[in-house]
Amino acid sequence: MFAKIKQVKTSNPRTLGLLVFVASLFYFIDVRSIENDSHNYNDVPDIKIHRILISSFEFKPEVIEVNVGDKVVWINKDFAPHNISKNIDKTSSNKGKTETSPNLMETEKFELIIKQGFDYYCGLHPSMTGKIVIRNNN
Amino acid sequence: MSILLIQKNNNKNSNAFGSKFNQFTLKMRSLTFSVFTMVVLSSCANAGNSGDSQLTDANIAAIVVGANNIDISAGKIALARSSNPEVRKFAQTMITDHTAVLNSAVALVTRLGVTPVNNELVAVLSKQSSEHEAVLKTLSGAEFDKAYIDHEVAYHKAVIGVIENQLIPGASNKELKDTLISVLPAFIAHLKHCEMIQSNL
Ligand SMILES: [Cu+2]
Repeated sequence: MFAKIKQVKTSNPRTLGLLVFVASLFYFIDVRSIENDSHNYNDVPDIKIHRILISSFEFKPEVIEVNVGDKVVWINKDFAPHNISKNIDKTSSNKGKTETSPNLMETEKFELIIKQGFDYYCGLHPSMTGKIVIRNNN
Repeated sequence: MSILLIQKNNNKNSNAFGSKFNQFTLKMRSLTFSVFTMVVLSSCANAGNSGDSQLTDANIAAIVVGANNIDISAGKIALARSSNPEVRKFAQTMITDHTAVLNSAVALVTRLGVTPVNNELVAVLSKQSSEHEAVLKTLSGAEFDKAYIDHEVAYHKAVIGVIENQLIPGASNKELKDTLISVLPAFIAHLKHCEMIQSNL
């Protein structure tokens, strides 16, 4: 029985394609509902997830306001790889050094729990810039 | 307009050079850029003015393939000859991104059943590219970096102009047109990138 199902799946690319398509629909619905949540409960100090799209060689939105502890997810929608790079503190012995995410291929994501605000750029395309700002909760 | 811009850039750069020999070679190079840009732009104007544009989708495919191959080829020369980390990073990005554009363009025209057909512009681009590569292969160190990056700036400006004014308006097939529109931000990001490097050389 199990073997039979497995056979159907692998021998029929259309079925497999449909499954992937349906699965991706759920993925988008899921992420969207998380995003809506973050808009509804801005004043609650719960951890929120913020999405930054990388498309047409821009970070969208370019500037994002978050609370400390929030998660930011970058998703590459471009055909070209991009990464998230930031310069490490200029005052320390790390001067001139950078911190860089892995290169994100099309559809790949990078997640970060935010501890402090920072400016960042794409190390492969330095004209692409963005900023994480810590929200002032007064 | 863009001829003026390119000449202005090169005048600024020639001041940064010490020796008279360098000033001379730079002037020669700047002349090459200007002639190249004029030819490209005048062929844009011809295509724009004539009521029935001569550019077919097969021509556009050939231009896209040719223009990407040229920049990949120059990038490989830069990786072989430059030791400047910023220049090398830029060259690697050119190889990666233009290979991606090339592959998606080839996949698209194959699917559409379009066979690329060379035209005058492809001939101009490839002639200019082999002349430039011949110069690059005689240079090393800071001289190489300057020649490579200066040309990348001029080349990306010229190609952006061609895509915007000639290829996008000229494309008949909607998918081809959309692909051209979608690759434009890559070329603009590359132009900004090499201008940033140029200002530090
Ligand atoms: Cu990038």
